[in-house]
Amino acid sequence: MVVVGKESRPGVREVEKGAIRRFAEALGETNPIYFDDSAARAAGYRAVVAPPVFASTLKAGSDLVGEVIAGKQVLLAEQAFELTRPLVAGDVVTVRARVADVQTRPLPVGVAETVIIEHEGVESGGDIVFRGRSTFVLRAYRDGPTGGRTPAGELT
Amino acid sequence: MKSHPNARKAAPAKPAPRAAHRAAKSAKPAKPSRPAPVSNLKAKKPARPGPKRPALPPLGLPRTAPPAARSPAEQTLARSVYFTELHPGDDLPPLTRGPFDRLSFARFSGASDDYNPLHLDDVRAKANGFPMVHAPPMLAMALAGQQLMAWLRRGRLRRLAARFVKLVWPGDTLTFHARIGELRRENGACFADLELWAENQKGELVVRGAATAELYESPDAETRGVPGGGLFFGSAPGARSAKPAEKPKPTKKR
Repeated sequence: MVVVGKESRPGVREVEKGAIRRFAEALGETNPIYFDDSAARAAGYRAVVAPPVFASTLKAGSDLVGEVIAGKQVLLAEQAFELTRPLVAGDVVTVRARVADVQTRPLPVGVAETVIIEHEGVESGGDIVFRGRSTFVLRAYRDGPTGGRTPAGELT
Repeated sequence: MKSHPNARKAAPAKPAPRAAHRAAKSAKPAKPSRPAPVSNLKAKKPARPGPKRPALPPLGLPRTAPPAARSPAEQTLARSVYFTELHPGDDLPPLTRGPFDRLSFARFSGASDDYNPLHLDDVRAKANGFPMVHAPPMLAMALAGQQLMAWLRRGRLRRLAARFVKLVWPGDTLTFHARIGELRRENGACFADLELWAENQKGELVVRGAATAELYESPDAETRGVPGGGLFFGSAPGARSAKPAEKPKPTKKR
């Protein structure tokens, strides 16, 4: 059961250069500030900078989102980020997640649960680097939580 | 047999390095201190009296070309946009991305460490009432961020919010639009509030959202530094502005 106010354990996450590169490549980025330290410095950043949405890849300590959505089909309905400053490679951020709201409402396709989860990333000095707010719409899988698959991925 | 293309090519090419090697050796005795060349590469450059030989043709090894530039640094070196030059209602350059395929979904899922079977597993997507997999929503949001960052250059993106209105399918192409809504100054910092929206190839609204960018007031303020219209993001979190009212652009397609 999802409880409003439930918090994750804090997770200490490093912003990795390779992770930034893969994220930027998946977006078809060509801007060198995501790949090249010297280009990033020329643009006024300390090191290779993370794209604005990269914060979503930094997970909290315990997987609160995974716990909330376990065995349900998930549609992300809304997402918001606030960034105090851009994340750059080498940053170490402590990430926490918290269930901000849970609502159940009937939809034409069945009962849907709306869960709002808030994320917060704090750097070592105690300053907030980013905040995130995700609104998920959850429904039961029609083919069961595992889709008739074993944990190894085989069809039963 | 004669017509075998490889045989014809290989035959005349081989003896040449050997001959050069032998020639190098026979020319050596005058300089016994020099160690014998250990490879054909070195044998090609025997120390000879007389005029310097022109560079020999390559041995067939790939030349170590300088790494190809990833892209010209046009986005970082180009002139930035400045607060005093902007007007509410101005449109940003649109960004078109796609057509997306299952591979782009998988790639983004991997890069964002988020594995939802509805984005990756056609069997499960179909079993749950979807015609096929659909794109991870954050892909569209990340591309909206890409559009803004390419425009902002030396400015900073401070807020990005998106509502995912319609699912994105394999084969879809998205065009991202953004428009300046409001320009405001707070605590000496300059902000631009933007409205965002994305349409697919059929003109349907797929994503809409809002963003706040922090900009240098003018080129002069940028070179002078923070006081008088510089960026403010080094300030304490408490000094940050309250969240501006979110009012996405009403679009005819819904």
